[in-house]
Amino acid sequence: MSLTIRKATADDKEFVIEAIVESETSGSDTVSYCAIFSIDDHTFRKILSDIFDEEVGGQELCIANFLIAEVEGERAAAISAWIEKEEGLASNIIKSNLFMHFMDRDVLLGASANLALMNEINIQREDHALQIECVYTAEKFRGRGLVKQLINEHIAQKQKDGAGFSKVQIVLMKNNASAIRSYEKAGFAIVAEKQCANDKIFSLLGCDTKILMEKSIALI
Amino acid sequence: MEEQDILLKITGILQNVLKRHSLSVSMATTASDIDGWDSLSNMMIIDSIEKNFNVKFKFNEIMKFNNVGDIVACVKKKTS
Repeated sequence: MSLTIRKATADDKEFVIEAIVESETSGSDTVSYCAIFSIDDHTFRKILSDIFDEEVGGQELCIANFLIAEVEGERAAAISAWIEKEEGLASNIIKSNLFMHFMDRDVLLGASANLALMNEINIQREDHALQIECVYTAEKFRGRGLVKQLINEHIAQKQKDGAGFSKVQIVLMKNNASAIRSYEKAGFAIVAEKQCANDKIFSLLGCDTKILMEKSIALI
Repeated sequence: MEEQDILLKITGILQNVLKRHSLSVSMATTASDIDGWDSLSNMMIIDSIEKNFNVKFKFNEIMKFNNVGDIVACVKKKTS
């Protein structure tokens, strides 16, 4: 199996958008963003495309933060990673600014009640820890350990850049059993969880509990 | 409009959005300093400031808001 891991470029935008849509669907039948903002799939993909064109770091929706795994020259998997607060602002604030700019303001503010529920379940990311998000493997390439290799390559590249982090963190839904098993095999452990008391969260995320998984890394 | 007047008005907006009426804010205050200044309240704060001062922030301006002082300076520039 010929495997290549490389940084994403603008040519990968459609694959990365697909990665996000699929990773945000895990555990339910709908894309969480579409449920939260009451928008359709087409509108969400257009917003992502515009956000990616802006290339804003410090959060997951940035092409430059993605690594792509290619098997026999075909795009097979993708993961986004960044160092929390590397741009000075928390990633959730940067994302909030991006959605404010690229989404219709009335649609955004109309989702306030849903966003308040999301905040109930939000787990704070640690400053200066490496964050892993938007983890996706195309169906026919699953079971080959691509996610573990992508995570390890993100760690190696950030260490080479002199990022100086000692923790890697992943936030995911508690009902994603297969992902949790994969991350545990990769050395991650569950360190925190947050549950939303309002059942409406199930219609948005398919699950009422988020977990934080973490792995310690020797500081280089 | 003077910076202190802008700061006073923005303090009121923050108190209102965050429902914390004794909240004290300075030019050096950041989102991380204030409990409850999360992604949702961030949107509501920016929206409220724009409506109250009748300004529209550009995306690259919002991305430079590291503290309340940066917001005050931008509002002053846009209203002068």
